[in-house]
Amino acid sequence: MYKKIKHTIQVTSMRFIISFSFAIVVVSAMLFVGVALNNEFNKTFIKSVSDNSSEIMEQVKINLDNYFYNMVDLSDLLAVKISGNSDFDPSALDTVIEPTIRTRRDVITIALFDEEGNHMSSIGGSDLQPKDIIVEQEWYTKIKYDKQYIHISEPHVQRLYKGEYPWVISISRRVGFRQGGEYREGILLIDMNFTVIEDMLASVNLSDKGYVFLVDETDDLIFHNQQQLIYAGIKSENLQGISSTFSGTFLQEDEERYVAIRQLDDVNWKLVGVFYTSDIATSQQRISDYIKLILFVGLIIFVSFSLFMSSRITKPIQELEKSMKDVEKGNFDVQLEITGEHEVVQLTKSYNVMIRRIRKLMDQIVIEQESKRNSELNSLQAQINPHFLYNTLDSIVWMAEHEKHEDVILMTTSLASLFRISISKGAMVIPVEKEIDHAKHYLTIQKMRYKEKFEFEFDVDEAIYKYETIKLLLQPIIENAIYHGIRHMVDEGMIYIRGYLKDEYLIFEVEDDGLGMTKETMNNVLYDDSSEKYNGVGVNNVHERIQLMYGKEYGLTIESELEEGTKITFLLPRNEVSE
Amino acid sequence: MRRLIIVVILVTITIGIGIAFYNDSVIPLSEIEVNQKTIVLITKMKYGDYWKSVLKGAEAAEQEFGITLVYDAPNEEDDIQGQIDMVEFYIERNVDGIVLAASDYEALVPVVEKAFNNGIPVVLIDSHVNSNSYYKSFSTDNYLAGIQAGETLIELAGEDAKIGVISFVKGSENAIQRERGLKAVLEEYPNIEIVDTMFCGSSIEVAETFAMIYLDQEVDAIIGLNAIASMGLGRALNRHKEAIGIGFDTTLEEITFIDQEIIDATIVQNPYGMGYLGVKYAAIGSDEAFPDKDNKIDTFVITSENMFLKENQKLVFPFNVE
Repeated sequence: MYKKIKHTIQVTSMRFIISFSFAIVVVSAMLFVGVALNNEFNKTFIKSVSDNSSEIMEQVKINLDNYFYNMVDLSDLLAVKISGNSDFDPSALDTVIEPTIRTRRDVITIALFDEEGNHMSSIGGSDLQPKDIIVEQEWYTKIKYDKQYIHISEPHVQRLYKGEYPWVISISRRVGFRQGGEYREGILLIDMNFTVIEDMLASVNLSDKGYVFLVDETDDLIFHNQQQLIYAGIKSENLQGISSTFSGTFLQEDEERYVAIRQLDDVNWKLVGVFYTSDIATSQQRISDYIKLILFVGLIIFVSFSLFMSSRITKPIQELEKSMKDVEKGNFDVQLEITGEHEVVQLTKSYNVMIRRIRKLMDQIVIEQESKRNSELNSLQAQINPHFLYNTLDSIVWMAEHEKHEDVILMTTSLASLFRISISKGAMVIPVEKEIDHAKHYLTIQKMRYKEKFEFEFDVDEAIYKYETIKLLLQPIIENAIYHGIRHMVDEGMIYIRGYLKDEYLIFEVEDDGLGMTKETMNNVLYDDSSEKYNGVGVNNVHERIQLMYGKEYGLTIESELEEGTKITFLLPRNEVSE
Repeated sequence: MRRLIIVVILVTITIGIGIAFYNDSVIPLSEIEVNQKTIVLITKMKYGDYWKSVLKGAEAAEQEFGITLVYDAPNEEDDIQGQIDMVEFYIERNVDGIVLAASDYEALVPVVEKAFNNGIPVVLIDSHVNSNSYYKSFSTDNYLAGIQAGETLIELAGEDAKIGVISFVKGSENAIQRERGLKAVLEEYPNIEIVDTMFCGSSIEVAETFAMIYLDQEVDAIIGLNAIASMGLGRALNRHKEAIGIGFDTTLEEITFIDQEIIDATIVQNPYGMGYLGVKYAAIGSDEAFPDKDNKIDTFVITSENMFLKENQKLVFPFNVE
């Protein structure tokens, strides 16, 4: 499992490199765009918030100015009406007042008082507060005693009629009129419904938490949405910097709020707008969260897309790689399917051609090796000691001269059989029985030549007769045993030939009780063909032939001890004689 | 062929998501309201200037703290079960906070505790419940209000006087506290005699009758401990201004009586402030201005002399009466 994971995220794999670099390019591009976008958004956003609030403030200011302008206008109109007549009749005024109050929601009261504070119009006069209360009120005193021509009051609770306490802004002015040929002065009062302004100011929305309020020339609050809380000490309004600013926008010292200020035209009031930096920060956070979300989703899409693309590109290559693994193991019969993109098709084609070429070359090598081995084998088998033949023929001649006919017959017959088996119609492999016979004939001949020098004994399991062997294995070893083991012995020697089956092997043994060998000699005998040859074909020759024919696990082993004798064991495969 | 289909699907998804985001981004940012809290305000009843002021204060907090305010209340002040059902309803809606003026000291305990256990902050305003499982409380300091009434009375009627008290509901926590505060002051003066304390319930006429009874007993001053009692007291004094009158709260009728000096003083609570503070702290949790769990909101003594002062106008006349 771990290996599998490791395999799939091979850092050097093409797939990884493609998707990784693709992802890096996309991520950095997106990051770049995202950051740039975010910065630009933020800049634009702050500007638009400030533009927006300036615009709103301007709008509110215009509305308020209009409101006051209209009221002053109305007041002027009425004043003209009052002073224009040569003889003023209060009831004529009523005909103007009554429809005005009825049709305009923003006008609550219109009333005319004379210099003593007596009510001069007849509408609503009955419920009027006592005269001494009226003449104390600000709208009255400002005109009467402070000699103002026109006065616009702060929003206040009007105390004009009994049991009615409306929130109003009062506009009072001095008017002159003629009555009964006499010039008199009076005070004209217009009460404007403050709810109209209050609703308008309360609904002004500068950012999420922003709001507006009004202050007078001494920076006392005239109107504030939370006036009750401020007067009750539950809240306070930060007025820092407001008195020193006539008009414009600034950030307060605690950097929590922007304050925008507009001076009204007709009254000496300032309209103050407040909006919070935290509102801006929240909106900026929202924008940047939004951009992050887009980046994240985009990232997932592009990375999965790049994974898909890279696997599409590398999959045929991976398949190529897999089949190459087969070839590495020695399977050259693989031919790849030619599909996919142009490059991969070309690569696959060339690869297939290469594999075919390699297979051909390998086949060729196998054939060449085979023939080389055969010729080698043949040449090895051909190396039968010619001295043996000369000696044997000498012996026969000698025996014939001494008229030992029986011996001549036996020796000649054996020699004939020996050669017949040796030749075996050119076959390399012969049945075990024939090989044993061959050895017997050879020993028979040698024993006649070296009279009384040695005895021999065969102990062969007949079960092995059905197997085959390379021919002429035993004879060279027996020859060695005689020449090197027994010939120089003082006593009569003994040679044992054994044949049996053990495990999955076919075993021959040639044992003598002759002189034996040193370890060094043993090694030389078996492996070193450059060392002196003992009269022609050596042990080494036999060993090589077995291994050439059957492989490295077969061959000869030598056990030997000086003065004790030598035992050579043949390890051969069990190959049954083929019919 | 199959690969082509996969590619087409992928491209379609990409474009689809792109379009979805594009459409999203066309919506003005101001309309994407993230995590706006919903705070519900439940008062004792829907009608009356007092609760209207509470709502106004709550609305001021709504705007200031960018929350969504839901207002609900039973039609009658004694519809206790109705109020319990309402609290249950909003607990199930899993609102972000409940501002409650409990109409009963005991009956609301289970729902208040349920809300608390569900992790919904409960801010009690005006009145308490018999439980500790709430987040904060803002209420009138009724004991202090009683003391203010007592001190005003001594100031106006002197230290040698016969006094009648008109309370409203026997056993009501607010009534008990106000009377205790009042008596705490009056007991200091040995020549002050409290004739009686009578309970007018929710009837102005009953209160008026009680006031007439006190006038017959030639008391020097009468105190009405809530708006109902004060209006009855005012009506009686309007006919025979034979005693000092001290009231509670500010209905239009009371204000008129004060303006005409028929009632000499009234103790004014700050329902606007309670509504505002209740919603504020249900929305934002705690801050250094009101770190305590239980908070008392000041009351003010209003007379004909100070009622038209700039700083008192908003308190006495919270809105425009048209």
